[in-house]
Amino acid sequence: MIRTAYAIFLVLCTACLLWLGGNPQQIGGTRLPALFPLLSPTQGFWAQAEKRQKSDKIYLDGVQEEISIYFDDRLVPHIYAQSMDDALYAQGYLHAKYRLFQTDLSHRSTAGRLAEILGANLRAYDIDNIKKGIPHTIALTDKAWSKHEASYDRVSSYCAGYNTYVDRMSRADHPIEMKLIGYEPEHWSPAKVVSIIKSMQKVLALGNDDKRLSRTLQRLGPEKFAEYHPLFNPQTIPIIPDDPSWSSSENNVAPQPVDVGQLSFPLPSDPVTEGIGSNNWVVSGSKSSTGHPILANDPHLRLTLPSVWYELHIHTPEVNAYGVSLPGVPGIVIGLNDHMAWGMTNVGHDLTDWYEMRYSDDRDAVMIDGEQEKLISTDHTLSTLSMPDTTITVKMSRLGPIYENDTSAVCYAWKWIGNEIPQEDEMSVFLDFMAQTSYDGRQKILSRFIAPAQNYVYADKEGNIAMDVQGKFPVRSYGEGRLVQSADSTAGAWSQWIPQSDLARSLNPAQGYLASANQRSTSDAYPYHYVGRFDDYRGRTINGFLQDQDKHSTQDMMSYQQSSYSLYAADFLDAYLPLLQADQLSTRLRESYDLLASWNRSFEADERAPILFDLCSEEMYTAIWDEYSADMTSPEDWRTIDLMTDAKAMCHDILSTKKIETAEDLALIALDSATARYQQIIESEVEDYGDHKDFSIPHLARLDPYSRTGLRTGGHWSSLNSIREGSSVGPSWRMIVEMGPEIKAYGIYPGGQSGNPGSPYYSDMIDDWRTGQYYELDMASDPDLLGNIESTLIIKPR
Amino acid sequence: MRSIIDTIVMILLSYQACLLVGWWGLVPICFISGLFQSWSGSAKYWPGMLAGAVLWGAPAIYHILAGSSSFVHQTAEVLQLSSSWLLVLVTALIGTLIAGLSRKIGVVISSLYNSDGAHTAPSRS
Repeated sequence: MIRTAYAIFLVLCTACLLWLGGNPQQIGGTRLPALFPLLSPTQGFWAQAEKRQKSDKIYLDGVQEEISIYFDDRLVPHIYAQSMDDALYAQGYLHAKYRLFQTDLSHRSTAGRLAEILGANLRAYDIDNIKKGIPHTIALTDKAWSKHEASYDRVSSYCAGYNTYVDRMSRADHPIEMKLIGYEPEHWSPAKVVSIIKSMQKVLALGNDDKRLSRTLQRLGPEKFAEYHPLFNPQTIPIIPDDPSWSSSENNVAPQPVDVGQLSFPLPSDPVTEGIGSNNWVVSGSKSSTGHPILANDPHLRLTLPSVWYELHIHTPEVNAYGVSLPGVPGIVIGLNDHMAWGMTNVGHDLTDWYEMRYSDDRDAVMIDGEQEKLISTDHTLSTLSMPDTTITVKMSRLGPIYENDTSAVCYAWKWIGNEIPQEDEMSVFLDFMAQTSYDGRQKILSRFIAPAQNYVYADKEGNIAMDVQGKFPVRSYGEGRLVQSADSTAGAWSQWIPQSDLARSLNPAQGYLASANQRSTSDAYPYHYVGRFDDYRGRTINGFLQDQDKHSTQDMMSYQQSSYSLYAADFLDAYLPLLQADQLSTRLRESYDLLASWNRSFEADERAPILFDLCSEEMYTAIWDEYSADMTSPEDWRTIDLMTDAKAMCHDILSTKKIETAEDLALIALDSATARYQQIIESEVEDYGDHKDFSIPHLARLDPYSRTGLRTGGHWSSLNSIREGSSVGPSWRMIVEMGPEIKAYGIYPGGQSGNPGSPYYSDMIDDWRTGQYYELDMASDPDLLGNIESTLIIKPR
Repeated sequence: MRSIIDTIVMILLSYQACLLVGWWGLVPICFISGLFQSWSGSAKYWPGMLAGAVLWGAPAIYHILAGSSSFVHQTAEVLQLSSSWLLVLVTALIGTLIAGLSRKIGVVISSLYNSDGAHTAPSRS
């Protein structure tokens, strides 16, 4: 009896132990991974400790003909297929194999599904997405896409490849992040492809400052606001040179004043996208050392591991293309084929608006332009780990989803370009780019692209160069969209769009080059109005480089991409240093002055002056704009520099003192404070700017040990090499393409092809990227001519 | 010698079972080996514990020595362990625990049907 009881006891204890160790456990607020599966040598994280990839041959359903994939020594796949459907199937398979967790997390981040795997902490984030109507838009866009059958079939081929990998994978192959979090991989679908595009739209086109600017206007008054916050920087060199046809356009819209909404209750703050920027430029044969166009592009994004991009080469009988793709999306986003090269930077137009409006008595309608409009409600189920599902109701108006509080009769509508449903075949833009052979063909494809608006740079073998500001832009009145607006007089906002034929573009300009760096798209001559946040320095810098030299080589382009020279620093110091009486400074401050004066304005890693400069400009900025509180928008840097030298500017006085300060007083105060901070930094064993900057590329899910930290780099937000201090923003893909009879292309991105932290290909390119190296992009039509091939994967139809 | 052979057989079969069904593949193998322990004449408990330790610990040591030490160290940090070797130790201990308990249950249940009770004293190990 005792022995039986003992046996039962033992079995129960063991079962309990196996259950506890075999499942994720919640202890307090912490969710622990399922320890036994995680540490199992055959299926746990140990299985993720990969070696160099070996060749393989597999038989799969859904493949029409044999696909040969050659992996080079960086794990870049060269896909040779007999049809585009098969090529996309292979791309989907590879995206799943190497970036499964990344695609899943990106999808969840827009679809309102993060809390489902990560718990209650992510509920607010998901609810915000749902309230912005993004999951609703994803469903409607998927439906709209499905009407374009041929394109939808190609996207479906990609999804089939992805799903084949998911179905075939063993538990050992599950991404380590999924093992740690404790959830299972899912199938991919065209709707999830939409969600990845929405994710990019959120990154690139969501930023706006309407609420804080409105508050700033209310507090400063119109006069000061106009002085401190002009719409555009007159020094900017626009992306698109003036076009003679603009002045005769019939679509010119007369400037109209805009109402400023009185913010009745606190609205959720919008993300500040400062620092997300990019560079691209192209020179024609007349300006290049080869006699053929050279194109350069380096989109700046928040860098992560796994990397933002997945590099690949696709070859079919009709297509030979190379470039980078977005994991989860078929096709090549930035790259080249045998005829042309293309790249992009983000358009800085503000395409997010807030409208204040009043509810009807029963809160099921709102007043827009004096008329009552019924709201359409949609329900969305929010799943949260370890919690019951809840239903979130989103009320939609013509001006976007509604934000409300429980009691107020006032509500706000949020209008965003990303919530526009495409009528054209938008999904296949990146697929069709790969097959294009002419400028005209490329223009037709481009016209289908809606958002996020991009400055598309172009060069081809025929010697053409071009830049297009492409996207869907509402026709606006002067200044419209900058502030929170009243819905009482929207004058048909967001109902008219700038026609495709009137979008700003340039083909083969007389100057022989085109450059974009998120600066203003056009001069005032352009007949349509727009507002936004634009770069003031990188655009001028690259225009200067391209103007100054008659001929530019590929090597020159590489050096421009990595230039840490800052026009901001140059402009600032030109205005700032004369404010200081150098000969009257104390020895301590004179040393600082001399360090700044002798500095070459380049944010090199081995310099100390950049540390002092950043501190000094920050102190000066703070001293000048002490009348601004945290919930207001401070003036832009270029305006601050202008006002520094304006003796009549009212902003110089420090409000907390009785004395009326001058710009000279502020300059001295700033130098003194900056010097004190600088000395503290140097005394803390910081050697130089590279040491101080301590750049990092974090893991996507913030699993810090899988991040790369302590990366010694130069660069600055204001330099072409826009590696920012205090964030992980930087050049996410540097590409240079030299056109000509034989196209030569170079590229690199900071990361690695594999998303598995245990793979030798996880972060193997970071050090080469950091030190300014490039890899030659091999797009041989004949696989036998490929170099550095390390392994092959042959996929045969089953 | 019988115990050594018993251990090796357990390791080989458990490894295959783990590949087949996952981490718990060693549970039925060690349990069954416990059931037949009196028949095989091997030691009662330590062969199971040793099989688990080897089955889970050896691959972990191999990965550290074969060039994945950085990844193992990072994962140890994710799990808030101070060193890679501590992670190896935890892994081996879990293998030891699962395999040891599974075999012990087999031995104990087997003893319920053993009339002379010679191998059933719960206090003996």
